[in-house]
Amino acid sequence: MSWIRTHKLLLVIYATGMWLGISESNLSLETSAALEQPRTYIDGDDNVADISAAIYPGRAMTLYYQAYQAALCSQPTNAQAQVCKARGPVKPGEVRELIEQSLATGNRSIEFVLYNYAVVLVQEDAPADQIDAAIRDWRSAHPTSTLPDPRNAATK
Amino acid sequence: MTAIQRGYIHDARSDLLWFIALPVIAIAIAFIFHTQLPYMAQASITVWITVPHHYAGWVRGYGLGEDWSQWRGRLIVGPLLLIPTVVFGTAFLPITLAIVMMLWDHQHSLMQQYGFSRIYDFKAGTGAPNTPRLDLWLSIALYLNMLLTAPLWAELWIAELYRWELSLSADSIHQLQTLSWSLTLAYLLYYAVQIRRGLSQGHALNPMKYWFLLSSYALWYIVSWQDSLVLYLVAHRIMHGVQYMLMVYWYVDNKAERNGATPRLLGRLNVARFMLFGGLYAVAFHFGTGGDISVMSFGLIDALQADDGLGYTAEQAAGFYAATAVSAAAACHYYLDSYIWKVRDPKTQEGL
Repeated sequence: MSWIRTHKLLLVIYATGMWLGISESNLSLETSAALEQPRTYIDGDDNVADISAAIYPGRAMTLYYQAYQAALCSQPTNAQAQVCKARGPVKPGEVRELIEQSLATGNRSIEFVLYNYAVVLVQEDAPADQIDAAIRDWRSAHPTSTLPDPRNAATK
Repeated sequence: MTAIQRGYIHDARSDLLWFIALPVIAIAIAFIFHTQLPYMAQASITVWITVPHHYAGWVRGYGLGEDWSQWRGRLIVGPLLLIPTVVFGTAFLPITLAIVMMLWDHQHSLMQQYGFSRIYDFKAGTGAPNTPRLDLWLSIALYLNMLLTAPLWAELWIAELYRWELSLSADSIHQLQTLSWSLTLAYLLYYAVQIRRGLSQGHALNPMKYWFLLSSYALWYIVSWQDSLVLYLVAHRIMHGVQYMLMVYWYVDNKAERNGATPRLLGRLNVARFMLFGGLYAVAFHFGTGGDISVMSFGLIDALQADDGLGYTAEQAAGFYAATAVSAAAACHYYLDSYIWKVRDPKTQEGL
């Protein structure tokens, strides 16, 4: 018993790690990238965008989720999704506007907001200096990022 | 015995500065990082505060003969067990490793502040027999409530629940957060009743402990309610790292003064030597683990790149930084030599 008492912290850490590790190894590849799956944003009432908007409206992460949801709903393949039908057609420039609102919070820690802003600008054929400024913002905040140049990503 | 009995970790002035005011100063510094510096500048705090605070721990654990004798088994087995585990986790279970490390970091942070609160009672000779347990649960209640209810942390665990296919509805999350607040407030009430009972039984309390806890948790709660991870990263790391380094320094210093024990290879440390070795350790660790100059320069390199007028490439910016450092050192060297070598000075003559 004294051995357990002496090493209880390590035992708790390893037990937690083993439990999480077994769960992680059982996750399918699709699940492990759940936050990249469209259904996470446009399925039913418990999608991450609507839940975040209900709990923390106006925060950088919430606005980004909403932008992602709008971007997905603007694709014809998702037009029949319940959430997309309920929210109505995506207005021109809505995705960009939501990302700009997210950036306006001053939060620079969410790399995808900065990165995808540059991507959206490229997709919308924004002026070159605007795209360059967005890319510079992304790079200066996340200089070690391994994401490809947004100009190339946007054309894919 | 009076109801109030003050006791300090070091002395009144140091405690006021480093344990009561530091969290406020740290928040102010964090806001400067948030509004004035590029996001990656926060990584420099890791280099210059977090890494040296690890060094301070090594100084005590592995440097003091007394600690080495007492904890030898764990000091040897710990790294032998943990380092391969981290290597395995990084390679095969990165999400698990990240979650475990984050949870352990939270546990470690709350236990440090709890530990300091215990020192306050120890130094003042205050508290009832049940105070350690009450304080521990106070820390757990406050910290856990913050993790469950603060937007900064809730955003993380809500996203993580999706990954693990355990997503909750907005109503469930609201109910969970309301329950958390209710339980925390109920515990605070229970704590107050227990303190009052302790006082009536003649157990004094140390107000410094409560100012310290208030200051620490105010920092965590304030930054956790902002929409910026930088504020937490900078403010928390400054508070945690600086207080830990000071604690180790004072501990080692007291040991040297009271029984002559000094850390191996380092001897009797003064503040300057302690900081110097910490800085050298930070630089060696940073470059030894493949870090670049950009991360340790508070974003200076990247600011040069981002500057429209200069428009440097990464290499040019690094070159600018290196050339500046060399020139600045040379300028200081020229100036120094201009006044320390006067042969007409009798003190200089003594060294010749």
